[in-house]
Amino acid sequence: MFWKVALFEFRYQMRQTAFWVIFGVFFLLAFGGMASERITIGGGGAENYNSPYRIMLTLMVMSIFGIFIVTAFVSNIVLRDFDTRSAEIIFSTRIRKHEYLLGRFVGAFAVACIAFSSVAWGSLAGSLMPWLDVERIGPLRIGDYLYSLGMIAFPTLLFIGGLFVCVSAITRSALLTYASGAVFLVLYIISASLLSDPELLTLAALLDPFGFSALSEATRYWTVSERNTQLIPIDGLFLYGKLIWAVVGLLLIALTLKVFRFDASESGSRWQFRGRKSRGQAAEATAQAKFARTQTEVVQTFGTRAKLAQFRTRMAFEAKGVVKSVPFIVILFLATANTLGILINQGAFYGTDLLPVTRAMIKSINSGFTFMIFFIVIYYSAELVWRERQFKTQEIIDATPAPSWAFVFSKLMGMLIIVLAMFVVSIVTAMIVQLFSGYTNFELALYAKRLLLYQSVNIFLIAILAVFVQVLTNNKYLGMLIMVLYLISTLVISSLGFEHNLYQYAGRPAAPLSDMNGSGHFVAIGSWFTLYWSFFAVILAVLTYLMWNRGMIVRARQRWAQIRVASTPATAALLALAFGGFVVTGGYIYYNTNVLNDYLTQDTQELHQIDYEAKFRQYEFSPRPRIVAVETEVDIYPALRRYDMRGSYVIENRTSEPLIEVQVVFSPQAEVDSLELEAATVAWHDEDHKYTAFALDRPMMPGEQLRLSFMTSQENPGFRNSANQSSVIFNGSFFNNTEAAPAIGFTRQLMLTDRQKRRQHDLEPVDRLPNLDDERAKRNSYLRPDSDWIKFESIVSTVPDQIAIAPGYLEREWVEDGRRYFKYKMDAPIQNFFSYLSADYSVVEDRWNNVDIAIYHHGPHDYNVQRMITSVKDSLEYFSREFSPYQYRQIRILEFPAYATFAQSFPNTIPYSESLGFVADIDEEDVDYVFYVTAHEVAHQWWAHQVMGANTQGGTVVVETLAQYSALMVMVHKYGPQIMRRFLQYELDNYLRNRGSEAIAEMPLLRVENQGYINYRKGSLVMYALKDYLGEDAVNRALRKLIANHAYRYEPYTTSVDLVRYLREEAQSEEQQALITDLFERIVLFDLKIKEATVSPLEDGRHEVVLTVSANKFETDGKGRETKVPIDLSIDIGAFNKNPDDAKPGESPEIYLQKHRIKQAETIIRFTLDEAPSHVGVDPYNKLVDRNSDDNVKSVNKSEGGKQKQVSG
Amino acid sequence: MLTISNLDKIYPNGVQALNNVSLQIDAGMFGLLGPNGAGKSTLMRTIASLQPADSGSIRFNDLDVLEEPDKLRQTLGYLPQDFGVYPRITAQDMLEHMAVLKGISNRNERKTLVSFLLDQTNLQHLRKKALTSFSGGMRQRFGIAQALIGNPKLIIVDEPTAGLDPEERNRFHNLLADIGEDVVVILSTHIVEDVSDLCPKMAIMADGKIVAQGEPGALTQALQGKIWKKAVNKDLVKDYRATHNVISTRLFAGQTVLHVYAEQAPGGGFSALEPGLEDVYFHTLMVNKALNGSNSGH
Repeated sequence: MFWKVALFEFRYQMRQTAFWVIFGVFFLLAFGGMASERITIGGGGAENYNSPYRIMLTLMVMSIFGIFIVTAFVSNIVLRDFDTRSAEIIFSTRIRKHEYLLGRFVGAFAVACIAFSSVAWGSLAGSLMPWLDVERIGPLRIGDYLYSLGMIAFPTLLFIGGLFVCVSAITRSALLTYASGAVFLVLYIISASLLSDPELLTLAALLDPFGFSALSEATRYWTVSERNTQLIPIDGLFLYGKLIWAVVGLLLIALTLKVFRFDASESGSRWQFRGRKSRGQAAEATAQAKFARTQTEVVQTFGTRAKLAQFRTRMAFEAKGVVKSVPFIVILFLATANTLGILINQGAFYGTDLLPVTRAMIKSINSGFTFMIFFIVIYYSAELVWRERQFKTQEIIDATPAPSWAFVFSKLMGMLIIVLAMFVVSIVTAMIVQLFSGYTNFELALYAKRLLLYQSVNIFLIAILAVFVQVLTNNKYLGMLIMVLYLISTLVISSLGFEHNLYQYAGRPAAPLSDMNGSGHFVAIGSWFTLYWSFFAVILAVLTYLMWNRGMIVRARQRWAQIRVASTPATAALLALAFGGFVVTGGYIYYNTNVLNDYLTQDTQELHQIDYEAKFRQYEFSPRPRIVAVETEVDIYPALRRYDMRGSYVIENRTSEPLIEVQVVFSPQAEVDSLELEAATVAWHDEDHKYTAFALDRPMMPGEQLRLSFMTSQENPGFRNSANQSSVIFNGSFFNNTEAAPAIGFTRQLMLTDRQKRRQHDLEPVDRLPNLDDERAKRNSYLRPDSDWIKFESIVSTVPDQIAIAPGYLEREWVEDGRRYFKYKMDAPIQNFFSYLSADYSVVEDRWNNVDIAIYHHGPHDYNVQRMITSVKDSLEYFSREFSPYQYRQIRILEFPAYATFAQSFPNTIPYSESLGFVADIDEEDVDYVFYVTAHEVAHQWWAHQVMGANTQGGTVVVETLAQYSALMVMVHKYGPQIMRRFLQYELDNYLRNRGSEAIAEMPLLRVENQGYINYRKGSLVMYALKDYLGEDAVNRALRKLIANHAYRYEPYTTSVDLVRYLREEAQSEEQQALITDLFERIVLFDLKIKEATVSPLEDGRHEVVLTVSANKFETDGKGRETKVPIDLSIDIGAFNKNPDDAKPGESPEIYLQKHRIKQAETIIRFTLDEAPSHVGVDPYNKLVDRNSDDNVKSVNKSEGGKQKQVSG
Repeated sequence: MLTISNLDKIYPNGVQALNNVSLQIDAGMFGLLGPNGAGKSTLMRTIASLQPADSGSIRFNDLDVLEEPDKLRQTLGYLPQDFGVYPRITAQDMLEHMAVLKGISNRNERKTLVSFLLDQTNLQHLRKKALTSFSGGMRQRFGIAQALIGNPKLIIVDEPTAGLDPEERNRFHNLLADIGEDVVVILSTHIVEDVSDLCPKMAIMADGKIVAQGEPGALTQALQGKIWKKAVNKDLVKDYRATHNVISTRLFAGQTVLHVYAEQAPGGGFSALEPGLEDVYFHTLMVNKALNGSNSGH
C-alpha cells in the first residue's frame, strides 16, 4: 500500500504543469549561469567554470531556491486534500495514516529531487556551449554533478521537505506554509550573519542547513588547482552538518506523523486565519425577532466627499488589517533581528570595529536590508491585492458603490505603511545599537531623509509595480514569480550591457554617504530618476485602477472592454499628465546623461580601450623625453564640482639619441583647453583619445630641455547615468595629477589589460608587469614611464571656507577676488605623483624634533587623531634612527570622504579615508590598525619617496613590503608580540584565502606582480620571519644599505633583487641563506602541528615536557599544485601558562620559547621547565606560512601525581 | 423595472452558463428557481455588475447596467451565495464599514442605521462578536443586513437559505418578507419552498436558460389534473420510469412514491394529486431535459 501511494503520488506530481515549469525555469537559470560569462551564481575566482568547486557552490546556492521547489511539491501533499475539499473522502477510506503520509512524502520528495536536479543538468548543458572560453572549461565529469547533488543538495532538501510537510500538516494553510518558507530564509540569513564571527565557525558550520559555512571552512585555502580537481570530502564539520540536518528532517517527518490528525476539520489549529469554517461560539438568540416595518431614513451620497471618505475608511481598514496580522508582526521582528545582525557585524579591519556613526548605520541598513524588503513587498502586494478573495468578501465589498480607485489606492497606502514601518523599526534598532555602543550622536534628520524618504520612495515604486503585476496577471503566484524575475533581472541586466537607468524600473545611480560631504550632489541626481519613475508609477497605478476587478476575475479578452468601461476623462487626463511628466523628466535625464555627458557602457569603454591599443601601442617603446619639473595652478570650485588646471612641464631628453617627436596623452575624463610645446607644431592629433603628437622644429638633443604648457579642466556637467562620483565635491575634494595633467607618450594604464576580457576580444594577453630581468623596464618607475624625480610647485585656490592642500611647504596664503589661494613648493625632489585636497578642515598640530605634524580632519572626527599623531611620531623616530633621516620638514594627514577606503602617501602628504581610521572604535585588546595604517603610510616617505621600485616584477617589494615591515616594527615596539601574533594571523589568513582567487599565477615574493595579497600580506609574514631569524639589527642594516645605495636613484629603479642582495650579505648561516631562498624565491608552505605532548613532574619539582611535532613542508607552483619537500629548519617551540589566544595585550603567558631544529616529518622534543605549562605550541606566533595554523597550539591538562598526562586538544 | 435581454455567457471551459436569458422583473419578490449548476449565480452576479456577460443587455429602470456599473451599485443590495468575512472584526464595525462604502457619510445616520439593521436581523446582542465566530444562520442574517444598507432599489439574494436549519430559514423568510414593496428583490434558490413561501412572481432556470416563468399559482394551475402518484416497491421504479413520465420520486415509509405526469389517468393504481409548485419545478426540468435530448438520467 505504501509503495502504491508513493508511486501514485510520484506519477501525479510528475504530470502537473508545475513540475515542468519548475524544471524548465531552474534548468534555464543554471544554464544561463554557466553559459553566460556575465552571470555567475555564487561568484568565484579563476577556477574553471565547470570545476567541482563551482558545481558545488552553484548547487548550494540554488538549494536556497530549493525552498520554493520543495514547498511547491511537498507542502502540497497535505494541503491538496483540504484545498480540494476531498480530505473527508480520503480520510474515511481504509488507508492508514503513515501509509498515506509517508507514501505521499516519498513520492513528492522524489519529484522535488528530480525537479532540483535540473540545476545540475542545466549547468552541465551550459558548460558544453561552444562560445565559452575554452581555457576556463575543464573536462566533463558527470560524477561531480551526481556527488554534489547527492551529498550537498539532497540532504538539505530532505530537511526542508520535513520542515514544510510538518508546517503544512500543523497549520493546514498554504499561506502559512509559504510564509514559513520566507521566514526560514530570513532566519537563515540572520543567523548566518550573527555567526559570521570566525570564533563561532564550528557552530556556524553545524547550524547551517545548506552547508555554506562548512564548505567555505573546508575550502577557504583551496588554490585554483585544488578548486579544479577536488570535491569536498565527506568528513568533519561538513559531514556532521549534513547529518544533523538530514536527521532533523527525518525527525520532523516523524513529528508530522505524530501530530497529523486524520480528520478533515480545518479548525483546531491556533493558526486559524480564516475562521470561515469554525463553528459558532456566539450563542444563538432564541428570542423572536422584532420586526420594525419602517426602515430608518438615511441619505446616500456619491459625490467626491463621499468617495474620499470611502478611501479614508478603506485605507484605515487596510492599515489595520496589515498591522494586526501575524505575518506583519513576524516580519517586523525579523526586520529588527536582521538589522541587528547587520549592524553588529559592521565591517571591521583586523577584528576591530568601526564606531556606529549614522552614515555607516544607514549604509548597512540599505545594503543588508533592502533586499529583504523587496521580498516582503512582493509577498505583501500579493496578500493585499488578494485579501478580499482570500476571505471571500469580494462580492459584498465590490457590489458597493465605492469607487475602484478607493480600493487600489488604499491598498497602495497599505504597502507604503509596511515599507515605512520596516524602516522605522530598522532605524530604532540602529539607534539602540548606537546607544549600546555609547555613541549618542543620533542624526535623526539624516535617518529620516535617507531611509524614510529617499529609500522608501524607491521601494514604494517597486510596491506599485508589484501591485500592478498582481492585477495584470490575475494570478497570485504568477505575479510573485514575475516580480522575483524582475528582481533577478535588476541584478543581471547591467552585466548584459543594459546599463541605463532610463529603462531599469526604479533605477537610479548610487548615492553614497559621507560624513564630510553629507549626501553631496548624489541625492539631487537620484531624485530626478525617482521623479521620472514616479511618473511611470502613476501610469501603472492608473492602469491598475482601470483593470481592477470588481467581483469575478475578468478574462484577458474582456480586459479591453473593462478598461473602456472604467476609463473616464479624468483617468485619461491623469494618464496623459503622467506620461507627459515621464517624457519630460526622461528627456531631461537623457540630456544630462547622454548629451552633457558621454553615456559609456562597459562594452563601449572596452572597445575604446582596444582602439587606443590598436592605434598607439606601436609607440610603447618609442624614445621619449622625461618630465623633470612641474608647475601648476589649480582652481577648485567645490559647488560646481569643477576644477581648472594650468600647468607646465620641463621635459628633458635623457636618452642618448636626438628626439624628433613628442607625444602627449590625457586621461579620457580631462577637458583639454590648450596644449603647447615649445619649438614644436602639432603633427597629428586624435580627439577621441586626447592623444597629440608634436613634431619638433629641430631635433631635441640629449640633455636638452623644453617646456610643455597645458590648460585642462574637469567639468562634471549635469549628471551621469552612473559613476557620479566626481573628484571635486562640495566638501572633501581629492584628486591626483594623473586625472588632469598629461602623460608623455603611450601609457599602459589606458589599455584593456584584464586577461579574460582580452580573450573575449581575441587579443593576446599582456604581462601584468615586465620580467624581473628586463633591463629596459627597470629604467621606469612603477608609477609612470615618463618621469623621474621632479621639482614641484603649485598654486591652488578654493572657496574661502575650505583649505586646499598640495604636496610641498606652504609658502604663501592670500585671498583674491573672494577666493583663497595657497602656494606650495617642494624643496626636495619628488616622484611625479601629487594630490590636491580641498575641504572645510579642523587642524590638529604637533611636532617631532624639527618636523611639523598636522592632522586635517572633519570636525567631529577627532576620535583617533591622537593615535595618528602618536603613530607618526613613533614612525618618524624609528625610521629616522634605523633607516635614514626624514627628507621633509613637515608631514600632514588629510581626511577624505568615505567614497573610497584607503590611505595613500604623497610627498609629505597622506590622504586618509574617513571610513578607514577616523571612525575606528579601538579597544585596548584590539589590533590598533589606525596606528598600523598610519605607520605604513609614513613608511612610504622612505619606501617610495626615497627608494622607488622599478616597473618590473618585484618592484613593489621595495615599496609595499618594506612599508609593511616598517609598520610592523613600529607596532611590535609599541604593542608587543601578543598583538603581533593576532595581526599576523589575519595576514596569514588573508594571504591563504586570496591565493584561491589568483587569476593568472601566484608569484614568489621576489617576482610579485603587484599582487596585493603577496606584497602586503605575505610580505608581512616574510619580513617578520626574516627579522626573527636574522635579527632586527641585521635586517635594518640591510635596509640602511639599500637606502644608502638606492635613494633617489633612477635608471635603473630598485627591485626585490637589490633588497635580497643586501639581506644575503647579512645572513650568517647556510640555514639563513636557505630561508631567504624559501621566503623570496619560492612559494613554500608549512603544515606544523603538535601531535602529542606529555608533561611529567620530575623529582626536583621541575617538569619535563615531551612533544611530538609533526612538520611538513611543501613547495607549490603558480597554479597551487603542491609538492612535498624535505624540511630542515629551526622552528619556535613554545610553552605557555595560558592559552595565548586569551592573553591580554601586554600580558606575556610565554614561559618557554626556543628554536628547535626540525628535520623530519615527526620530531620528538624534550625540555624541562620550572613551571608546568598549560599550553604548548610549534611556531606559536605564526611566523611561518602554515596552511593550517589552528593546530599549532594545544592545551595541556595538568594533574597531580607522577603519572604521565596526555595532552588533550 | 429590471429588464434582462438576450444575456449570453460561456465560460472558458465551454460551459454555457447563460443561454439567451431574457427576463422582465417588476417590483416585489421574484423567485429564480433552478437546480445547482443551472446558471443562477452567474445571472445574479451579472445583474449585480460583478461579472461581465458575453452579450446581451441589462436595464434597471433607465440604467444600462453593463455600461454604468457604478450607477447600479448605488442602488444595489447584494447577498452573494458564498461569502466570507474578514478576521478580527465585529458585526457592528463591519456594518459601519459597509455603510461608508455605500455612501452613508453622516456618522449619526450611520450609527442609527446600523443599530436598526442589527435589531431587524436580531444581531444586536452579537454586535461586539467577531464575525468569524458566527454560525451559518447568523452569518446569513448579517449578509442580509449589509444588503439592506441604504434603501436599495434592487436587492439580489443568492441561495440565502442553503444550509440553514428550518427555524433559521423561517426567520430568514420573515426578514425578506419585510422588505418594501417598491423594491425589486430577486431571490435565487434551489429550494421550492423559498419561492412558494415568498414570491408572487418566479422563473425556473435550467442549463443556462429560462425554461418557465410566471406566477406560481398560474404555473400550478396549468398542471391541474395531470399529476398522479403511486407508492411502489423501490425495485420497480426502473420499470415505471420506462413506461411513465416520472417527474419525481420520493421515499416514504420504505416505499417509493412516484409522481408522474399524464394528460389522462394512467390507471394501474395511480391516484390523482393536487399539483404543488414542486411538481411544476420537476415537470419543467423533465421537459427541458427531454427537449435537450440529454439523457444523463439518475
